[in-house]
Parts: sequence; C-alpha cells; structure tokens
Amino acid sequence: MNIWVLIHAIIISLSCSLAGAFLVLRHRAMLADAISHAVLPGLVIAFLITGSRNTPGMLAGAIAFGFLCIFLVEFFKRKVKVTDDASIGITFTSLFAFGIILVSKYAEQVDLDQECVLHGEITFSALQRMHFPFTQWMVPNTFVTSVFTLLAVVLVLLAGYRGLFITSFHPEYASSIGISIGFWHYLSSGVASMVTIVSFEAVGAILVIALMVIPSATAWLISRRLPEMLWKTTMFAITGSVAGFYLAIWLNVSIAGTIAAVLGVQFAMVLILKGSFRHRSIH
Amino acid sequence: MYALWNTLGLDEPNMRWVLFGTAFLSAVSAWVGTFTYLQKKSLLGDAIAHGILPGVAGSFLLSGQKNAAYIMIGALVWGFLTVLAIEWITRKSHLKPSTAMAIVLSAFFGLGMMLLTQIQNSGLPDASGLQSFLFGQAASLLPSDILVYSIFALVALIVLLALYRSLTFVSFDKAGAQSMGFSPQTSGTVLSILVVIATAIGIQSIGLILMAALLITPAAIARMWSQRLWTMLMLAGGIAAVSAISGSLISFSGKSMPTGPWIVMVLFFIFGFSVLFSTHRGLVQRAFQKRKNRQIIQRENLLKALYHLREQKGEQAEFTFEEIQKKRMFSENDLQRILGMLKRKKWVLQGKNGWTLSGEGLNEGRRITRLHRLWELYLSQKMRLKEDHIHPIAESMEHIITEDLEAQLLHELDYPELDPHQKRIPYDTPAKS
Amino acid sequence: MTPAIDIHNLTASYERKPVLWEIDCQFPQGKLIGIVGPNGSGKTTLLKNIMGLMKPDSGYIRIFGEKLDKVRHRVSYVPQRETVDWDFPADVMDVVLMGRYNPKKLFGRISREDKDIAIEALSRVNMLEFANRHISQLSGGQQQRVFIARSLAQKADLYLMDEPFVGVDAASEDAILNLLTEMKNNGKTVVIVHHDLQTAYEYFDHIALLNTRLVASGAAEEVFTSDLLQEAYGGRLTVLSRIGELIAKKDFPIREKGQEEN
Ligand SMILES: Nc1ncnc2c1ncn2[C@@H]1O[C@H](COP(=O)(O)OP(=O)(O)OP(=O)(O)O)[C@@H](O)[C@H]1O
Ligand SMILES: [Mg+2]
Repeated sequence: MNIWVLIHAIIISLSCSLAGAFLVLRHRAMLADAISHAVLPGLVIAFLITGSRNTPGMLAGAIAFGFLCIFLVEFFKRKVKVTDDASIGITFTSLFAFGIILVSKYAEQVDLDQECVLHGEITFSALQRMHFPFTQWMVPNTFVTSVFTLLAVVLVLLAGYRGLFITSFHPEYASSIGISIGFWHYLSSGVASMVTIVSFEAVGAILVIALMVIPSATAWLISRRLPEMLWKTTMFAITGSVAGFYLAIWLNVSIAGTIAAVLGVQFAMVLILKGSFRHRSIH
Repeated sequence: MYALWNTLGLDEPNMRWVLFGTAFLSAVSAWVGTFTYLQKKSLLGDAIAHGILPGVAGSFLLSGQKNAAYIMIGALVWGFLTVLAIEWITRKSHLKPSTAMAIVLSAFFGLGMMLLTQIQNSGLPDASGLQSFLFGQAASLLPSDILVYSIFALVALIVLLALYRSLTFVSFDKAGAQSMGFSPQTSGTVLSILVVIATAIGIQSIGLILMAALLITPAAIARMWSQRLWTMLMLAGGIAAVSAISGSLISFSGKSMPTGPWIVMVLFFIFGFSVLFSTHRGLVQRAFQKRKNRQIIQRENLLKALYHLREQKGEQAEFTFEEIQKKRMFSENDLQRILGMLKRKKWVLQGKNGWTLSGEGLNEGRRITRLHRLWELYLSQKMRLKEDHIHPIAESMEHIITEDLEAQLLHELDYPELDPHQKRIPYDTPAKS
Repeated sequence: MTPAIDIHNLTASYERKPVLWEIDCQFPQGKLIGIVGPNGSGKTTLLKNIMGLMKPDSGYIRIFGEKLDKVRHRVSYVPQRETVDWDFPADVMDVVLMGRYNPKKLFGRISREDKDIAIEALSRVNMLEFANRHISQLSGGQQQRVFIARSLAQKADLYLMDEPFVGVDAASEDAILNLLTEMKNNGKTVVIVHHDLQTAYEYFDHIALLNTRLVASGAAEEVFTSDLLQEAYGGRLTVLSRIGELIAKKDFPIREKGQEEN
C-alpha cells in the first residue's frame, strides 16, 4: 500500500511540476498560488451536487472556478485598475474563504475537513481501489485520474512545445508572426488548473504550489535550454517526492508537507552550489 | 438598541474585548497593507503569512502551550526568515520576487505542516487549538492574548507614524525619496518588518491562510474611493475594523465556524460593492457617465445643426423636422427626444413652422460651432493635418473642450477669424447677455 | 508602386489616452526609412499598431496595399530588447530559429533548411561563433544582433526594427548599417525607429518625424530642416496633451458615429 502512495506522489509531482514550469517561465508563479486556492469552492459545490468525490462533475466544477479565478484577476486589473498582485490576492483569498465556509457548513456531507484542504490526504486516497482500465491491476481510484492527467500534460507539452516556448519567451514577437498569445496563455493556465484540481485532494491547496513552482525554478537555475530545464524539472520532482516520502514515513509526519519542505531544501542546495558551477554574465 | 447590544453578545465583557481587539488589530494590518499596496508589493503579506507557520507550530512544540507571547515570538522570527529567504533568492538568482515568494511560501508552509502533524501525534493537551491559527477563531482569544497582540500592533503603529513621511514618499515618488536620503532598500526593509508584525498579530483572529486579504483588500477598496493617502488610510482602517467585527459576529453564530473566512467574505462584499459603485472607478458610475456623455453629444450636435441652418437660412427662419434631419442624420426617435429635452430646457422654441433656437440655445450652438472650427484650425496649423482629415476629429473634440482649454486655444491661435475651410469662427457679441 | 506601409488617420491610445494623433503617411518600398522623435513620442506605439499588436481607436493601415494578415509572412518585426527576459533558458540558436516559426509550422519539425537559414542569418550579423551560447551571456549589442539575425531568418520583404542601435558600439553599428543597406539594395524595405538625430540624416533615405503627431514625413533632406526639427523636439503641444487627459477622464469617445457633413 505504501508503494502506491509513493507512486501516486511521484505522478502528481510530475504533472504539477511540468504544468507549473510555464507559469514560472512567465513569472506568474503566484498565479499557481491563486488557482490552487480558488478551485476549492468548485470542488465542494460539485461534490454537494453530485454527491461523490472524484467524478467528472467535481473536475468540471473545479475547472470552472479555476477559470473564474483567472477571469476575475484580469477583470479587476483591467476594469477597476487594481494592481496586478493585489488583484490576485483579493480573488483567491475570497474564493478560498468561500470554499472554507462551504466546507465547514456542510462538513458532514462533504467529508473534507479544513485541514485536509490544506495538506490533502494522500494516504487515504490510496484506500479505495478499482481496476486500472484494460488491465487486471487493482489500483487506487485517484491513481487512475492522476495517470491520465499526467498523460494529458505530457501530450500538451509535446504537441505545444514550440507554441509554449515562443509565447513564454517573447509574446510580442509571437503575436507579430500571428500566433495567438491568448490561446497559449489560457492553455497553460488551463492545464495548471486541471493539474491543481487533480492533485488537490492528495496534497492540498498550498503544497500544490510547491510542486508546481519549486522543481522548475530549481531546474531553471542550472539549465541553458528549455528541454534541459524540463527534464531537470522532472528529475527534481522525482527526487523531491521520493526523499520527502521516506522522510515523512520515518518521522511519521505529513507526507505532502515533507515533500514541499524537501523541495525547498533541494532548491536552496542547488542555489548555493550553483555559484561554483556557472557564471552568469554581466549584462 | 440595548436589545441589539445584548443579542450581539456585547454585554459580555469578554466579547467586547474580542470584538474591539480584533477590530484594532485588523485596522493596523490594513494600514500597513495600504503602503504595501501602493508599492505594489501586496503578495509579500501572503508569503509571510504562510511562511510564519513553522514559527507558530515550533513555539507551540517547544513551550508545550498555546501562549500568545511565545507564538508571537515564533511568528516574528519565521516572518523575518521568510523575508530574508525571499531576498536571498532574488539576490542570488535571476528569479523574480514573485517566484521567490512562491518558493519560500510553499516550502516553509510544508515545514509547518510537518510540525503540525508532529504536534498532533505528540498528544499535547492543547493540540487541537492549533487549528485556530490556520483559519482564525476569534472566539478563542483571551483578553491577555489581545493585550500581547495589541502591544506589537502599537509598536508597528508607532514605527508607521514615525516614518510616515518617508514611507509616503517612497510610495508615491521613488526618486524624490532617494534624494531625501531615504533609500528604497531601507524603506523596503522597514516595510517588510512592518508586514511581518502586521501579519503575526492577525493569526489568531483571521488565521494565517487568509491573512493576506486583510492587508490587501481594504487598501484596494480605499484606493477605489480616494487618491489621497490620508483618506485612504482612514478608509482602509475603518473597513478592516468593520469587517473584523461583523465577520467575528457571523462566525460566532454558527458552531465550529472559523472567523477568517467570514471576515474575508465581508471584505469581498465591500470590495464588490465598490467595484460597482465607487465614485472613482466604479462600473455603474462609468456607465452613467457614458450615458451622460452620449446625451451631451446628441444635444450639442442638434444645437450645432440648428445653428448651421440658421447661418445658411437667416436668423428668422424656423426649421422643420425634415430640414433638421437632412442637415444631420438623427433617427426619428432620437430627434424627437432631444428636441423635447431642449424645449424643456428652453434652448429651442417651437414656432408655427418649426423649430428655432432661443437666446441661450443660440449661445450654446455658437459655442459648439466655434469650438469645432477652432479645433479644425488647430489641427491644420499646429498638427499639419490636411484639410480633408480634420473635420471628423473636430466632430468629437468639440464636445470635450472645456472653457480653460478654449481660452488656451484662442490664445495660441491668436483669436482667429476664419477656419481652414474659410468659414467664419463665431464669437459671442458682448452686447448679448 | 504601392507603398510598403500606408497609414490612414491612425489614432492610438493607452487606457483611452491618445498617444498618437491622426497619423497619416506612407513609406515607400525599397528604402531605408527612419522614424525619429524624442522619448515617449509614440515611435514604439506606431510600430505596434503597424504590427497589429494593439487596436487603434481610428484609422487603418495597409501593408503592400493589403491587410496585415494577408502579408504577415512578408513582414518582420524586431521589438525593443527589453521586451524579453534574457535569463530565459534558451541559447542563441533557439532564438534565431524562432524566425522560422509560423502559426502553421508550430507543430511540424524544424527542417535542415530552416537550420541552414538560421546559420546564414547568424553569420551575416557576425554571431555564428556564439550560436550555442546562453542568451544571458551576451552583451547588449550582441543581444541586439541576435534579434536582427532572427529577423533575417524570417526572409521577409519589410523589416520593422525598434531601436536596433541602442547599446551597440560604433563598429557594430556600422556593420549593422551595412547589412541594412545591403538589404535595401536587394529591394527590401527597412523601417527603423531611431532617436539619434546626429546619425539619422546620414542613415535614412526617408524620415518620419514624430511627436505624438506626425510633424513631417518625406525624403531626408526635405524633413531635416531646423524648423521641423525644432517643432518635433520643441516639446509636446500642451493643448493636445490636456485634451488627451480630458478624453481619458471623462470617458468621451474619440470618434463618434453619424457625423454631420462638413
Ligand atoms: N503600456 C502602456 N501603458 C500606458 N502608457 C504607455 C504604455 N506604453 C507606452 N505608453 C505611453 O505612450 C507614450 C508613447 O510611448 P512609446 O513607447 O510609443 O514611445 P517611444 O517613442 O517609443 O519612446 P522611447 O524613445 O522611449 O522608446 C509614452 O508617453 C508612454 O508613457
Ligand atoms: Mg520605444
């Protein structure tokens, strides 16, 4: 059973870190923060309507709120001239607060508690089992969703590599050759929302941010080209989740929390060591 | 009145402490938040609030009890660590502050989670109370807790007042501040310290997850109603206090309701209200303004059309509906409506054979025509636009030019006689009143 | 011959405040054209409008007599250097290869031919030896040349470059200028935003003097008169900027429908 939890953690960290990489490259890391908080009311409402977890309904609800969040951030910025980061802050705190109120009001029905919202329950998520499609394997319910999410992320990344690259690096140039920045912006935010939602139950709202931001930021420190950065991102995601997992078991503490902390330590180590490997030029 | 006082629980001294205490603490947080908002550093509060968790959990683990003073110390220490870590990352790498914040926030929060689960496993007596630091539980505040938090709040307030001028300068005019010898680094550090305190004092009433809202939302709301710092501060403080009190009251009414989310909901409600109705950038006000502008434009266009007709056909003439429509395309409905409106204003008169301008209407029609022709002249003289391009621009600018601007135009063009199409620019004759 | 760029009554604004007023001019084909004006006079904004990166309040632009979308593959835009994060994980070759991207080719493979074109472009700006260097490890002038190489790799007919000489030393400036002249001699049209008056007259065949309004546009010797220069650099027109503020503040439309005939 432990091994399923570990595999699950690795898969989630892979999809989160890859989806987060493009937010980090666009300097929109805090948008990960916003989205991961904002999906909560969507999850709860969909749960109250459909009455079960891990359904397409729940996914749809959360995705809707992910997009609502992105929309509101832009709306407050454009129409009411709230500053960019304040707009993010106002939107996600409000949506999250709304979600928490729903959770505490319908605690019995929802079977999510306030704390689980924060650090997930990756160990419980392994309890319910089902057949993995087309095979004989018995795997945890949530595992199936996570695997398909990872596949989707990888697919978007492979097919959209060049579009994501050019619109992240130089949006002005991209649109000058007729590439729609809006499309790729919403695609990358959309993928990030989807990943957040799928990982939310397992690792909670705030640790999703760690998975989305830290591995790719770490990789960025020591990468010269985008493909290099992406594979290093996956490496750091894997080492972080494996080390975090065993450390958490050993200490008997929150698995998701430990993974996040270990990712942070990894980042700090790379940043300290980097000085001796690579010289940045003077501009 | 007294009954209300009672039902709100305000007859209990403990309750009064809690409500007024949180109101004060929230106001201080909002004041600090106003400065971070103006310096576009709003999310720093979010990062610090999350980064504080290991400090809170750690002090509990070390002391074994939920004591406001210890918790405050732990929170401050980790708050500073968060600030230092963010600065270290931005200095040592090419990552932007926002990325650094996301990294530190989530890693520290993870560490805090580890400690929290450790506490739960340890079975310490108070362990369950720790939940209240995440989402706030104002009801759990003791007068002694409030006293501790208030002392720190006072310290923040004193620093804020002492550095008020410099902080104002940095918020509005970076270069000016530098020339006064107040470097952005110093002010950045001072502000970070203030944010740490402002965040730490709210953790028990709002909770650290949503603490950012108290720093950001009141300031953003205040900005929508005012552009002056002093007014903004008053508004932000007031809004924070009101939200804190009403949020606490709402949460008291339900069992196991955390306070923080309700305070944030109240704040968001006020924010939404301001988005719609603020006098400064409110959507409703803007819609009204648009409508008013449209009316002004239509009215002025009609007066101008009548004035032109009069120029062509002589002063005594009255003009029929069709003649006006031939001069300028108004829809039937529009024309009827505007004529009616102008008639009520006594700017046009309805005679036997049609419509004509009254004395006042004449002045107004002349003014619009004059502005139109002046602007055409300006475009062709000063902006070197070709004659066939200037008319459409003047068509819209004639409605915008104010009296001041007209005076300046006249001055710059030296009271011209003719417009670029050799039409006379009409002035008010002094004899007319 | 149809003009390379034909601008009609262009008014453009940020947050409703006009920064370009009724620009109306034409740039001929096969010339080196300079857009010259003081800081903040709207040069970049004009290029953005030509490239369809922002929506004008009024007016329209034709490129080779067509709408931009029809001839986009014939136009190359070099934005100011500050528009990118030079710490992005990419090397020089990655950036130059971007010149071979287009909306349809976003998913296909980069061919051998594309690579050859990129290499040729790099060697034309004397940057071939840096092909595998990370872009943060270039000097400002070298970064500028990478952008020009990317633009060359686009194989366009019309080039719009925003301040390509900023941060470039005299020797490189000469080299770039030679390159541009060579392009012109091959029938390309090159439009350059430039703010150094000293050199503008030497460099360009055709000059547009800009300062929120178009002061003049024509052959270099016609435009470079002390009167016109004085007018362009002698400060903003205060009436114009005041009315711009009024438009933004009162939310008035810049153009109205259904106008009275003149
Ligand atoms: N994104 C923006 N939002 C608001 N105002 C802007 C924006 N970009 C430019 N402006 C304003 O528009 C005006 C014209 O700017 P623009 O960048 O076109 O000038 P420029 O001629 O290119 O100047 P420079 O020589 O400094 O590059 C300036 O007054 C500037 O302040
Ligand atoms: Mg510019």
